[in-house]
Amino acid sequence: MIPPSAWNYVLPAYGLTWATIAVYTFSLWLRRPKGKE
Amino acid sequence: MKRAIDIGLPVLAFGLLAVGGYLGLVWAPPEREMGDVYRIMYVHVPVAMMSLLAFTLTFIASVAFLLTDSRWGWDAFAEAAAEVGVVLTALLLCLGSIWARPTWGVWWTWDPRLTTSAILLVAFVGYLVLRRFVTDPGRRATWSAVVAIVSAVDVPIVYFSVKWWNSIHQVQSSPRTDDPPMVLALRVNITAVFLLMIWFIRTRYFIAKARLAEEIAPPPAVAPAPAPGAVRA
Repeated sequence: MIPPSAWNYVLPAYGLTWATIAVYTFSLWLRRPKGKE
Repeated sequence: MKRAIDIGLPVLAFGLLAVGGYLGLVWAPPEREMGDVYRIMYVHVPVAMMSLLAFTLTFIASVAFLLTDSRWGWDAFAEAAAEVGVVLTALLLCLGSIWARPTWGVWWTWDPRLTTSAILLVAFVGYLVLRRFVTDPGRRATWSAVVAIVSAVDVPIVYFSVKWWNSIHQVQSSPRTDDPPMVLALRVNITAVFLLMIWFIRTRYFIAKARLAEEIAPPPAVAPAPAPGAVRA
């Protein structure tokens, strides 16, 4: 059964995806090799 | 060329991700039975595909490391792909859980697809923990390559689990089973997450390689040993 508030699940799913991508991108930036800059 | 990839790849990936987000959330029509909640598919399926691809790349790099006389680049590549695979699989399980609640009525069930995916995540988290705890680069690379090869056995099991066992999880969709607008939105999102995964692995590879170079390099400023017979002052 699908509740009428499907967006209550869709938007958190997209938000979680984008947040994960943003956080992982930031973690890669923090760990970037320092010597070559 | 390297500079162009450094800038062009993430710009393309994030641009496509934005377009894919619009297509998935707004442009694609609602699904007949699931309504709007099926839109989670446009992030869930690409992340699932790329997580399996990342672990497959880890497997290939680990085999290559063991077969090619310990080339360190393969070890760095395996580490990079495994970490990206772990991030994507953790995200995948969360997305699947969010989708399961309104469609199956539960956040989690010990279904074959879900269980094998969870085992895959735990196995490769163990791989990363092993790499963290072994300090000798040679032993770390060899041991973790073996662990990666054993863990990657679960990759085809995850893929075929929905066909081999009676699973609540649906079997793989194909362009023949989806409407054309849905196929287009899905392909754009798959391409976006694919490019993002390649960029993540590439960036993480250079980090791993820089650390390896520091570990393997001989210590600087080592005083030369005195010649035999030399008189000490």
